[in-house]
Amino acid sequence: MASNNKEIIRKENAIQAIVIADTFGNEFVPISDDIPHVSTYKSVKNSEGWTLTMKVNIIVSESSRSFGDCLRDLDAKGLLRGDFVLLEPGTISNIQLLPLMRKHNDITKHDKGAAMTLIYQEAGIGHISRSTQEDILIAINSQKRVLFHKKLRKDEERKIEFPLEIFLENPSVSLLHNIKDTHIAICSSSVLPLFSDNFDFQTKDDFIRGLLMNEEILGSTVYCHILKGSQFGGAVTNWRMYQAISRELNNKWIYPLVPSIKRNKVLKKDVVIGDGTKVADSALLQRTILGDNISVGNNVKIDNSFVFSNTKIEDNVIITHSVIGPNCVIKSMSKVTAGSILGKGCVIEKDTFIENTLLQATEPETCEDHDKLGSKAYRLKLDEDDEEDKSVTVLTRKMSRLHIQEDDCESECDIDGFSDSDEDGLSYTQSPVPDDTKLFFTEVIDSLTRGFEDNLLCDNLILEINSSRYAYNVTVKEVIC
Amino acid sequence: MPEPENLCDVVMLVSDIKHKKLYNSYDIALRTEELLEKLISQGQWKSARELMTLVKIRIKYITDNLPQEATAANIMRHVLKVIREEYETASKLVTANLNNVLDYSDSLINLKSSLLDHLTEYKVELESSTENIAAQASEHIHMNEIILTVGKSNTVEKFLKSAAKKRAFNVIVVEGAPFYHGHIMAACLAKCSIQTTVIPDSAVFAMMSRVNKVIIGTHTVLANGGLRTASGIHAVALAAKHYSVPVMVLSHMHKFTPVYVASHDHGAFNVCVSPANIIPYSTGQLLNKIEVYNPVFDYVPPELVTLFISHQGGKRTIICVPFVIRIIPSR
Repeated sequence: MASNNKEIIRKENAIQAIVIADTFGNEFVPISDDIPHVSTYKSVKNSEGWTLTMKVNIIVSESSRSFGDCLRDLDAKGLLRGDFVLLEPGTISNIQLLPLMRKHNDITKHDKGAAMTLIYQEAGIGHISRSTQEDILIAINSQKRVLFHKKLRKDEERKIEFPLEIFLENPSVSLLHNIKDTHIAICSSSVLPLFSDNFDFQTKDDFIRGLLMNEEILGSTVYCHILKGSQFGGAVTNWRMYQAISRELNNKWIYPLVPSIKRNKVLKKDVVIGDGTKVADSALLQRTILGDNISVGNNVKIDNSFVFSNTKIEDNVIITHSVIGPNCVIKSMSKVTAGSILGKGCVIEKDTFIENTLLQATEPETCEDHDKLGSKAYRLKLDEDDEEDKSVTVLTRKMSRLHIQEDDCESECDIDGFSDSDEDGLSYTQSPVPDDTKLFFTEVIDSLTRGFEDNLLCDNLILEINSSRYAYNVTVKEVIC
Repeated sequence: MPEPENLCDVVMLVSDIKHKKLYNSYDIALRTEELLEKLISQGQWKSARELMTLVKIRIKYITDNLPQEATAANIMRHVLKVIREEYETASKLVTANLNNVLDYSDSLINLKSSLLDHLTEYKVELESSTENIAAQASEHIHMNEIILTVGKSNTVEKFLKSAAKKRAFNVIVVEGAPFYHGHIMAACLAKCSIQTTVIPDSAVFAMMSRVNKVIIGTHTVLANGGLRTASGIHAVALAAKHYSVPVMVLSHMHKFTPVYVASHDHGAFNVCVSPANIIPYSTGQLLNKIEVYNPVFDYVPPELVTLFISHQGGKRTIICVPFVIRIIPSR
């Protein structure tokens, strides 16, 4: 897989940055299959004005297979001197980097081993931009040195063990969970050699973990900075983040980066449409971003979805929580729902129902009959590398491809006259008290995952679910629906 | 379509304005003037017509990319007028025939040097504009008056400081939430030992009855005499109207625009910035359900403005609103 690293060098203030352009993952399959990276960047480079304000070098390293490989390759090439900013793929932000660079510089004066300042942003629990795959917990001391760093996953155990030393060695420790990773880090020049010395560092998380575990041996420390106020940073790491960041871009959180003004206030909330797009009068759009030259037919409903350019959507189609790639055709009466991703040029035949599926236009190598939905629509299965991880990753992916709005279920609660937003409306950043049904739901998912992993008997699982049902006072009816 | 490389000067200008490297209108005005000076002295043009096309392309680029930014485009428009005038005078010297309709296509030798002379003059005028406005302060501010101003404006700051040299008076500064530029303004005024009081935006109506004059700066003066100015000023102007307190607007000539307002919350009129100042990003769940707008500008209708104080070409200028409508004919 090819990777592009861009490097920015400014003479007077000497900010240099590495932008890694490849995600090295299959999060965005099948849409990402059709985008050749190098040429995109070259064309962007030529058309936009930003080459006037900075110098951009595109470095292609064909042999790199991970984030870590890229940095090792850069170290070998010896292009960078001094501190630099490291941006992971898909980063978008309006952060003033210069003050942060200076701060990092001050830290390195006090602590020679300071290798990296991680930049986090305050984000309340339950916010759309906090994807389950990126939930993190860090422990820092009063100098903002990171003592403990852990990515939390919903499906993992709920207990977290802290090493006792961090409490013994530091007079004050803050545990932070109300943050999200901006995927931007300020690095000392020692970072690249550290990557070269440790071949097992594949990602930034490996790097942080390695540094924290072998603090004495490597003699390097990690610091962090927490953004407050109007500075924003984030990265599109999966579809859910794509959705969240699109929404935030639209709501001006990343000002001065705003979508070019084409906002149509007549349409319902949060709709952006591109040039030459035609929307029929009777179409209902909500929280949707449409690209250029799209035609949307009569009585179409699009909710919480993204449609790329030159796609045709015929009459009476319903699209919810999905991403439709460029040049697709969705014929009348079809339904595309719940986290479906359509690759370039798919054609969905009349009256098709698609739910939570990845589709591509060309026939994959291993194609079974039931995977063929039409002459130009094939169901795509992601091949997992690790067999043991399979159930876990598939489950998290299902849960997370697009953020399905709680509004839908909550509006039902509102009708009953009970809305939990009233109660927690005043207490900022505090997590709402989980109600029994939610607890029950998570518990059932836990037991199902575990059952799948350990190949438990079906009867035992039923017993388990029934017992949790009694424990949380949930009726059979609720379980079935 | 012109090649993007040819526009690189204006692309840089727009990017600097967008990234807030150039913040106040004075810096933008000077940068635009320098850009035009460079264009005239080094640009590829042979006749006045070609030069005018070059300037027009730049105006188009700025208005397309920064519809809210008036200063840069206005200065370019002014230079267009200068080009026409200089061409007319220069061509009169060459040919005495006045019956010909001017098409600006002749290449005149003196044009470049006379344009550059004119621009140097104009630059001096821009540089001294704030002082010239401030020099009129003692005519408007009297002993022991209470002046109310909103947020921070360099022109208003100089104006008040200039008046403070001769007279003692009180200033009430409205803090201008959520940006609170008023705090900085108050600190600057207090340093010059002007009696200063900071009040929250909510207290404006209560304080207005004691105020003698409202003096504010503005972002732009629109063609109908209305203002595009910092948000919160509309409320101040309405309160002033209620108590019949005069509202004086200090404005440089380059802030007068030939643009009308279509609607208040029209995308091209207002700028919405990050809502983080109003509701912190760490609020969490609530943000999934709401949309927050944080507009930077207010539209103040012309009937709420009593007087414009400006300065042009060595003359003190006081303009009443109906006159604004006349000096800027509709296009």
